[in-house]
Amino acid sequence: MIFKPSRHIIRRSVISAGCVAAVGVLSAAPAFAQDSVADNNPTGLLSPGTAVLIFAGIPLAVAGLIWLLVSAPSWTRKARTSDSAAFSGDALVVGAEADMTVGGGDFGSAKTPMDIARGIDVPPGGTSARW
Amino acid sequence: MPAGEGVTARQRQAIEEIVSAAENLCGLSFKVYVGQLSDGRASAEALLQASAGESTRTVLTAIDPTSRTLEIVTGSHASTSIDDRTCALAALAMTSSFQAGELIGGIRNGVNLMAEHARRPERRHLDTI
Repeated sequence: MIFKPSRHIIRRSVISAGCVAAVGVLSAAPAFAQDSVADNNPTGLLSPGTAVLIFAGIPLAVAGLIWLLVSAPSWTRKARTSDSAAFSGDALVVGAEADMTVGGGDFGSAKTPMDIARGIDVPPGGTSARW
Repeated sequence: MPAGEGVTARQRQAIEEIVSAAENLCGLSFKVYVGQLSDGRASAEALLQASAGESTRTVLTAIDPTSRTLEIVTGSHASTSIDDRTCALAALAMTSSFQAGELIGGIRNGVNLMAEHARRPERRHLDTI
């Protein structure tokens, strides 16, 4: 199956990459400042590669580590599905003396459930709800 | 509940524990039905009447996940301890959880709420006589 990213995902990826690049350039910019005689820098100038590694690589690595720690747990778990939407199994009855036969409409007598409901006084209490 | 399956054994055990705790708490019988309610409330009432034991002391919570319907039916004796307003409150608690996809959590909230409401307070001054 070929994964085709939607336009929304592509746009978000481009924006994210742009933001990361901009932050990286801004972070590394001080390293490219020109050295002057007045600059009493005992360590000397950093090479561009070293500067990028220090000022952009380390922040990006930390950001990546944080992103990994945040995202990794969701990769190991199953996607959360709605119980109600996914229900397709047999009926379940739990409770004291739950000997009702469910699924086939036979509730332990020759009468249908509707016959039973019509023939016996309806219990007075309860409520109905939908979600 | 994974797609394409019904209630798992673990979920069933959780529901049994919820029902057992509620019955121990207030002395009424609780039943939980998860399945199709083709005739809506009439089906739930039929389920209560068809159950063995004292249906008058039984509180049935019937949930139809397919039609997203909840029916709480109380027997005539149980309704003296759990009135309709309590049932409505329990239904609200349950449907709130169901909306979030929490079947077991919703059942736990609703059944516990009704059992707590039906629990008779201890009468220590009479019990010690």
